[in-house]
Amino acid sequence: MKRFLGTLIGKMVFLAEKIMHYNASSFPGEFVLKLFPDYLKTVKYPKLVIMVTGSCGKGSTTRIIADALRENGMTVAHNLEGSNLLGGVASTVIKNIRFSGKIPTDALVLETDERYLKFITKYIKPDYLVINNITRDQPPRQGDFDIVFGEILKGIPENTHIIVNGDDPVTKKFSLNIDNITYFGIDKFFASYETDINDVRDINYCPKCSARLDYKYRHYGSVGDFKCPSCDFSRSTPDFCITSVDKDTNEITVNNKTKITANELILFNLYNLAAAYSVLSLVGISDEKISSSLNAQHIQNKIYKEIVKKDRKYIALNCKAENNATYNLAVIHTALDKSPKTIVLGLREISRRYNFFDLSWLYDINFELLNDDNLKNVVCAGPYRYDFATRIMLAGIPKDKIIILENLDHAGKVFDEQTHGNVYGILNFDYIEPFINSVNEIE
Amino acid sequence: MIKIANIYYDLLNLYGDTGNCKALAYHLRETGEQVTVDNISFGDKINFSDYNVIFIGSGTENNLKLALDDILKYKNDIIEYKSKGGFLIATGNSIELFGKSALEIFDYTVTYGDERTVRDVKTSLFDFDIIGFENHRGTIDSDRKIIFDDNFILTYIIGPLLVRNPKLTDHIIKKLLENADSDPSKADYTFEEKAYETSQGTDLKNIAAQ
Repeated sequence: MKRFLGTLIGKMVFLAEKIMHYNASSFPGEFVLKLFPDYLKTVKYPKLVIMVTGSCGKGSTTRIIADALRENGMTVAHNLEGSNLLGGVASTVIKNIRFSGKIPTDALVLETDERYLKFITKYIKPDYLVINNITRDQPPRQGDFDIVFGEILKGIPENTHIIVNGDDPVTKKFSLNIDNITYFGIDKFFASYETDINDVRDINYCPKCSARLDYKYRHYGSVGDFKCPSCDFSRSTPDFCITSVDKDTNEITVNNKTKITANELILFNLYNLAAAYSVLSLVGISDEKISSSLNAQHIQNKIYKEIVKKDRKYIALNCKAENNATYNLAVIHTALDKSPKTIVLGLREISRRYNFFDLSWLYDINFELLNDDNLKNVVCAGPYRYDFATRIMLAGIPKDKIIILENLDHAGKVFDEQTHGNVYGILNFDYIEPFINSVNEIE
Repeated sequence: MIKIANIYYDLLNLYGDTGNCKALAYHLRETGEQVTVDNISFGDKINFSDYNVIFIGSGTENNLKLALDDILKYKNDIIEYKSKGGFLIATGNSIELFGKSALEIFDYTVTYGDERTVRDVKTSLFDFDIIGFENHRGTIDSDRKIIFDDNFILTYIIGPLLVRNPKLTDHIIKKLLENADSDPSKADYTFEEKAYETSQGTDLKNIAAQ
């Protein structure tokens, strides 16, 4: 009865939202959970439940998995990006449920917030749980990555099969608590490095015995081919591994045999693909079918956008404020371009969740890597332009290369007339649009 | 010549704490002074008497425990370093290393609750305001947001304390260069000062001013 009422009320709230053109995707779920806190316990879930959690890329990975399952003939219920707390998940359930109490799709695929996983898995037991990565992210909310690790660990139900990044010692740490893990990973490719780039890393010491980890190569931060010199903690050979990446054709190869054309070769996108590949294979889809459903045309471009104006490339690299990993990957990517270049930095809001003035994470970004003669200009824009300018100055980049702008509105003229070379916008997601608009104004 | 050490640099670096070392070295060099920076970690030998300035930053609780095990053996070295006027700047939870049941150089006691303290702070030191951000689980039994004695400055404020407070950087540089030929007035804090002004103009709902 509670289930029926909950469903009815939830669906009515959805209808009311639709009529009023009001769009708050987690509200119907929150509302129903307030009336019937155990509502989610009463639901009959699909046979296949997949969840994805982690600091970066869980939304994209969820979408890749859901789309590929559909491509392979399954019906799928999945939550919209960002609706990943308990209320958002409940909304997804209400949207898809029948009055019989059953979600009639073949699969349920959920992006789950890393701190809320434990509340969600209390009601819904995933068959597979992907843990993409755990990085420094939203420190005022998350504290630190060890805390997030502990919270995720609490949320993993007994019979759930977990799939984690085996290149990352932080996620590899789950092997100290859980047997039978599937690992995905990426072998050394063109953006990996063997030298010490002197960056700030999340983990340097073995979580088992505290010895300093050795690396054959790194992809970024602590992520790469690591090995403890004094115990058995190491990157294990990944079960699903991107064994080669072709820079010219965007073709990646999984386990030395299956080819996929990736839409962009940014590391996080490669990891998202590797994670999705693992789950799809584990649920029984053949390599050929996975390959055809993961090919570029199916994946929405999100991290990287390139525009050419007057023979100069303008590249927007979508980063997340308060998350140094996304910025460091953009910096590593930008540093691969050895031609003359300009970088554009800025953000509108540090966080959408809270109003703290904490930009300490700027010092976890390795801007020093860009300090060479090829770097011609640095544009610092937005309300925090002087914080960015200070960071750039302290990276040793000469002050006369710095251009200060109040915001990025109509900045195309500045890019065109005052800067040199390819222009890399290493930007928070809320500054991508003004950057692209400005570039499009260049004539 | 000013010699700086960033100790436990790859263990205690959780919240941009490396920024302090960068800021001090950068502005010292602007004055014409020669500067060396050594990154020293756990297991390495730390010769405190070799340095003028020591930085130590925040870490996860596990990493802080590792650092504690290592730093205890230097207790007497640190006491001597302090009495001889060496500078030490500890940010974030690394201040817990210096209290009771740790190095016992200061007499505050650390307690751990379930809730984290996460807030913007504004306080004062010497004759100027200090701004910053705190994010920690432990608390100490002191009303002061910055503990200061001899040339030791310890605060729960995380990360780039000197970057955000150019007056503090200037103060430290002036003291370091008291008997040197280099000219502290050559240090240019324009960007930091403008960033400071920005932060003051921002609506800080959560500011916990004293």
